Amino acid sequence: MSSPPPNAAKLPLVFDPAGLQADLAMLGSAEWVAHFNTGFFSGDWSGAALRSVGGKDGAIYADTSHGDFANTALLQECLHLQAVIESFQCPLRSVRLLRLTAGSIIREHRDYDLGYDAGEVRLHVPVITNPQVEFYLNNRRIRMAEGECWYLDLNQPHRVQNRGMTDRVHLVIDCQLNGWLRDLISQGEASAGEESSYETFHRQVLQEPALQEELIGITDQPAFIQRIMGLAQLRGFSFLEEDVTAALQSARRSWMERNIL
Amino acid sequence: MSRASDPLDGWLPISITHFTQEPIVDWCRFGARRFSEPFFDHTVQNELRKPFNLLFRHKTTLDMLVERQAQNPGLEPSGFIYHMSRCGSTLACQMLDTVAEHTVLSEPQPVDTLLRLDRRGYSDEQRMTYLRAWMNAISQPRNGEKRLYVKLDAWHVFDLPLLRRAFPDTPWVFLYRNPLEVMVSAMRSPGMHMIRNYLTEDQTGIDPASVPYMTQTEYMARILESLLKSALQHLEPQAGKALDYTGLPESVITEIAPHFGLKLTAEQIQVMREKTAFHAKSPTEHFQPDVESKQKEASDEIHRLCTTLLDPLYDQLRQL
Repeated sequence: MSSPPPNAAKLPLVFDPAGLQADLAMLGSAEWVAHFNTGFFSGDWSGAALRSVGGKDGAIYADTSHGDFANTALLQECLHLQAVIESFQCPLRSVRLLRLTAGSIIREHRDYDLGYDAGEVRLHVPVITNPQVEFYLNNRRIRMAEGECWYLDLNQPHRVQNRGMTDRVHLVIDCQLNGWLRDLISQGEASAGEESSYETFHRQVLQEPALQEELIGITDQPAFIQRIMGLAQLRGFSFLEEDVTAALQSARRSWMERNIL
Repeated sequence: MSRASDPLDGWLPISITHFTQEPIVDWCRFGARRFSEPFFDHTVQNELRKPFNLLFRHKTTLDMLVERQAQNPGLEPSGFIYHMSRCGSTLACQMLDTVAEHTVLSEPQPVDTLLRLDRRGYSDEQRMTYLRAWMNAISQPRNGEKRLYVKLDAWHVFDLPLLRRAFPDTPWVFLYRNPLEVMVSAMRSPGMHMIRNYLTEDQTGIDPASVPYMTQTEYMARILESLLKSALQHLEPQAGKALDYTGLPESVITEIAPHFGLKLTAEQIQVMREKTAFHAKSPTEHFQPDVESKQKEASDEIHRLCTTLLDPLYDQLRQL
């Protein structure tokens, strides 16, 4: 049996961002459908369907059923995106453009509908992005550049913050795993990601009793988070409240699960 | 390393987990909080309500417990309490806890985790080393504590020889109660060890093939039988003392304290006696003798199992 894939890998495929962005520019505001589950994000997170069950327009949620997938009418108009999609030599399921506008964030979550072991993987091709986009997978920051193609294990907790001034749009391709794609993933450049700004702060707190004294007595969670944000600002850290909330959630989860072997 | 720069100074190893191949020790900045809740885990849970303690915890290997031992002396256990469950052991702990100089740990999860490491290929020597090192780290005096008492899980009577080797100078008692009353209490709310096959055949001597053919009541009786047999086997050779529920709470003062080498002042005795007026596991409720209600509640099956399996063992314990 081959070794399991890494959490994140840049595949040996590169697309021309200019062409993809030209297609993107043609999309009118009517093509974008907003996500409705606002518990998951704040700001504006929306999608445009390029391939869906029955080729239905506006189907922006990944379909986990085993219906017949077909390209949407929208894709017919986007020649560069079409070329990208046609270059994949594996069965394709949902294909979407997902847009996270400037200042929007997607809170930490897991996508349980996917899995390398289950034979379904999700690939990301950044169409347009900016240096202030922070994507965290398992608390490690993964930097993805325009035109690159990434395999990501999105069963793992992940979150996104677009802290830049421009929108972030990714082409998101759900693939059925076959030999071609398996080879591509194994040839990919694995990325362990970078320590997040929050993690660096977390390490400092564990090493500095003086910093601990500032926080230990606070029993109210919102006040605790505010105090952390204040200390972080004084020390030049750049993380958001969302990062602290995600860390608290993850700590609670691992405590609950501590006895599961 | 100077004390000031020791990142674990003031932190306690609250949990040991093994998600990974190697077990991980989870340390929490515990401050001065005593382990006064009826169970160790309840105290830990309460301490983790502080957002800081939920979020910021050190994680180390087991060997860190050993490395710290020489520089950070804790307490040598002054007494172990083994028991058959539902027999007043929590009350005994709560009484011992009334003395400010005592640290009382009631069924701490890390001890159980360390004892189970044999299933991961750890030798007896390794388990003893880590048990001693954990006891040392958890009992770091934070309020001038001088004595450490530990109530073990009911099934740790099976591990008694290993614990005796690890802590040869620690006296121990075994608490028991009329099996009929224990059975009725266990029927109302069974402990972990009453879940089928939670304990192994090596421990209980119960053939797993026979388990599916037993009623839940019979299974529970078989578990209690194995606990009592194990206690009977160890009591004399390992210098233990068996105490019946009927002697509680007074026997904590008259029997357990002297056996543990503990000299109580008149004032301490008075505080202990006041403590016994309250129900051990629900400290806001008054303690009410429930022998009669438990006797009435017992089914015919319980009566039969007690007569055939458990009462003879109970009688043997009482004659010691």
